Amino acid sequence: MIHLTSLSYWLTHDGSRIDILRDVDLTVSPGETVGLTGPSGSGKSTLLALVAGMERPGAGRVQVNGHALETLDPDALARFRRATLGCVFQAFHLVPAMTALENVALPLELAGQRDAHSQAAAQLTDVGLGHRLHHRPRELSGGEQQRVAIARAFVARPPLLLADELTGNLDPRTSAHVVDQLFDLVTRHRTTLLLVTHDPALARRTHRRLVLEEGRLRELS
Amino acid sequence: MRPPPALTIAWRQARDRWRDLLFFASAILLGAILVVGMSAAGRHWQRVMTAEARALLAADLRVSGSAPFDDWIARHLRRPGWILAPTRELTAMARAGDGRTVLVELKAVTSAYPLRGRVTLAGGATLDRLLPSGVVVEQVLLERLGAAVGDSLILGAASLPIAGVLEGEPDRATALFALGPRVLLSLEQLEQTGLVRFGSRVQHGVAVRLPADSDPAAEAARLTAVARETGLRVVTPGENQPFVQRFVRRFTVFLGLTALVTLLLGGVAIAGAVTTFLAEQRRTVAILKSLGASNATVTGAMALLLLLVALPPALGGAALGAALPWLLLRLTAGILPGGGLEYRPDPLLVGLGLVGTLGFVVPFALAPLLRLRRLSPGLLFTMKVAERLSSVEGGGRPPPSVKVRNPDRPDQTEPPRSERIWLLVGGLLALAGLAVARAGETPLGLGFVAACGAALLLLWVWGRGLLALLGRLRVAHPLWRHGLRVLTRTENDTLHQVMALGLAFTLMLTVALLQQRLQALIADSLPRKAPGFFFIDLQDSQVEAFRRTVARIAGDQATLRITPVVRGRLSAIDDRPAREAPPGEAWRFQREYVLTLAATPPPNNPLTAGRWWDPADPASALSVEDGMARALTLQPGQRLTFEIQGIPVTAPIANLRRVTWSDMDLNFFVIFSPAALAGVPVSHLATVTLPLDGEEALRQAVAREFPNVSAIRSREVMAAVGHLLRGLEGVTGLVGAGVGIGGLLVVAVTVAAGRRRRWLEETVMHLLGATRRELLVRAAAEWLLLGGLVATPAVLLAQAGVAGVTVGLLKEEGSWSPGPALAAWAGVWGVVTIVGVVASRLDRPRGHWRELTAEG
Repeated sequence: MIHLTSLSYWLTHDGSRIDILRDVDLTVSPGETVGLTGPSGSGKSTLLALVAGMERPGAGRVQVNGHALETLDPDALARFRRATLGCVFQAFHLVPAMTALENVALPLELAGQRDAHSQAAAQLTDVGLGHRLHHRPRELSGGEQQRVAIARAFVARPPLLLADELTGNLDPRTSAHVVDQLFDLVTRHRTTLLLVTHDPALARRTHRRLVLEEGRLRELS
Repeated sequence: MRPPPALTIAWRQARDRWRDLLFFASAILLGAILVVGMSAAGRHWQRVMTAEARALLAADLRVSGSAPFDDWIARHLRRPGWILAPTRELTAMARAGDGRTVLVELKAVTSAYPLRGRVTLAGGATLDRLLPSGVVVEQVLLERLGAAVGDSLILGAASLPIAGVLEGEPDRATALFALGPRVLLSLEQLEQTGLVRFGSRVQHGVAVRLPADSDPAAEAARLTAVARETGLRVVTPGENQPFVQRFVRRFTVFLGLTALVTLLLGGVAIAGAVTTFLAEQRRTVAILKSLGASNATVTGAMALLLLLVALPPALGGAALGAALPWLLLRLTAGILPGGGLEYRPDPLLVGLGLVGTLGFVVPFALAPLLRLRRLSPGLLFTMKVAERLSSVEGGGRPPPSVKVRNPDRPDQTEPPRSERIWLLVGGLLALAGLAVARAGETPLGLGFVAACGAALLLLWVWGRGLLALLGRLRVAHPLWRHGLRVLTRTENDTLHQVMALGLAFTLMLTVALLQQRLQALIADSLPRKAPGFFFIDLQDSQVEAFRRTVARIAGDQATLRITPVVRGRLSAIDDRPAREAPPGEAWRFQREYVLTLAATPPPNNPLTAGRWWDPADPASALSVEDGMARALTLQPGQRLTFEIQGIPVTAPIANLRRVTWSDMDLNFFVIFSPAALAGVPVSHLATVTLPLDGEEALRQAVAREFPNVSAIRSREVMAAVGHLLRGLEGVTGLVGAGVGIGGLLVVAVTVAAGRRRRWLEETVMHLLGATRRELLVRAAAEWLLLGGLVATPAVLLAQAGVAGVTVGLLKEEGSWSPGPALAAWAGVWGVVTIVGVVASRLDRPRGHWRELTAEG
């Protein structure tokens, strides 16, 4: 599903180079779940952004679901994301102007599906938010917002889910509920999962655990 | 049918975020009101002023000649929609039944007279009702003849009843040097007098009223070209009152300029609002892209959102703007001139204003839209709580010093340099086109765009240089240091604020200072001590007696000036006789000049070439008004020959003079040296300035004691001219106020653009323990520094702008005084500081952590 080859990413600041990722190689098989940990600023989120085709690598190759992302133009990347990816962010990133139902229906609408709203409603019901369909994000709790985000990430049945600190803004009890729902969906839909987290317990729920330190990727046994 | 995703997204954003969009919509609404309203008001008052100037001619244009030119009229003036009013003017002796005679000025008209303005008759009568039953005369003639309305007046072979008393005629201002009281009669009555015969000195004229959609200047130019062959003269409104014409031109330039300034200020405000609004959509765009929305969908959604939000206020603003002149006319009724014209909105102008308003949205929306196209959704992965807020307020961009290295795959949101250059060039060309279309004059429009471009460049250089300097400054006081840092942080966009505010204040100050200069010129031109009377045909032997009469009646309250005059016709320039004059200038030879002689130059007549003669020099010489010299290409040293009382008098031109015709004093085209007219019998022309309540007594005394002397009241002329100039003064004030509102709109938009960023910073500081006083000091420090950054270049650039317009466009001498400049400098500084601090206090932080983490 994911093949990263000699992937590097850096920034320049006042003429000096700041390395974020250095020669990262990674292969993730379809249906596999991978937990990625590491200290703050180690490049975890950048790695997810590169896999999602939302950032361009400085060097190396990113191949996801058969697509060499560095060869794709912006429109092809958009089609790739629409068909392949679901994303869950720490800050939820729901569109504030839209209701929960509209947020979840959005990927389907972008894909031109006719029954976007009924599918979205079913997905929201699946995560226990059938009674919150017409609420705006600001009218939902943090846990509910993250569940809407999860519903939106799964509604188009993408083969790959990227989750970035999905419990970072939630209390432990809500976190556990949200994580359970996520793994339940991943298992049911045999979705490949790349999960960034600071929580070792959460990382242990994945098939493989990786750690990113000073831009280099290491596999934990 | 399912709507496209772009429309769905745009509609949902507009539906839910309308409160956030209110400010943007308000900016568009106000911008449209200003752009359309000021332009419509300006156009209306231009029409009014033109109408008032036309009233001084009683027509849109007039053609005159010394011989009948009916064939020429038939060929060139008989056109559909053109209204013609023929006139004949001549001097004649009027005789009463008891044999008393007075020299009068006859004017024979048709019922169409006057085509512009109106004739005032005693008792409110109208000319078309009185003329069929007799002639209309001035009161002074009745007194001199001892006659009354109803008596008969003998003119040539006809005895005509006096039907009414003439109090004012609109074009009297164009004939100050009348030879006697006016008698208005019909063309048929003139025919009965038998005064018009071969060899009579009759001025044949035809007044023309043009259709509303025709261009009088273009028609006048065309007619002038064809009139050259026949020696006819085409006169346009204001031509006989050069200073009125000059002021109408100044006013037109001022209106054109203010229309452009308002357009640009409205545009800058709209641009600021568009930029802020689109920056606030960055997070939504990133989310949409992360969900697989294509660039076309995202930019389409944002463009549709802009349209959804901008179109209703733009339409509403255009409608309100179109109604603005109507409202202003009602508010200023009796204060500003109406010219008898009803305001009618011009759909073309409103449409152009609407296009102009939306036209500003498009180029200024293009750059942010292009940035959104390039926005990487990857920022969602790094956007945590605090960053999320800053992204909502338009920040969140990486500092420019942090750049993605890979040059082949730049992921910055900034478009590439070539794209930016094309965008800039395209935007400038579009603005230049819009400016030229709105200014009505290509040089004015292009000059304005070039000047604004240069001002922006200078503001950029100034802002960048000074911000770099301030960045290196070390300040001990923590709050002042913080205020300084807020300004110098690149992500705070201070440079753009300096440019937007600097340009707005430059334009506002330019218009304000120009308005002040224009009003000062008008005030200077209003003849405050103009003579109440002109007395003509005073004989040499009557001068001393006349002095005594004036002293007896008016005492030392009167100012009397007596000037010797002779009348003559120009018959030759050097050895070139009048008959060889170019046809276009023939009238200058045919007309009768009022000439004078003087030993010393008249006051307020500066010499522009040559030298004044030595009073003791026995040689002949003459002085020529520089306008006449230009028209006849005369230079000092050339000799002019005038035929005075049948005798040719030749003298060389010693000098040329500039005459201020607006002072309404005695001014002459040609002045002879005393030696040149030695022995020529002269009459005298007297001007008397005295209080209003003494005028009637003096007029009656002169009429009684000097029956041959004609008195001409100049008060009516003054009133007509003064009314026009005061109208111009009032309208410039009103237009200036409109520009001020436009400028304040820019200030509001600019302050609002950084509102959330400031709010966030102050909230954090408040949470960290800063008191309200400390926050106030910090805000004051920031706005004081920004005010200083803006005020200095704005005042300097405005001074340069005023000098450029005054000298380059108005053709007036530039003037500079430190007082207004210093006041403007302090004013700008004060306005920026006060508005900034007050705005920051209105939206002050309440110190709740919840607000920091709340959804933007």
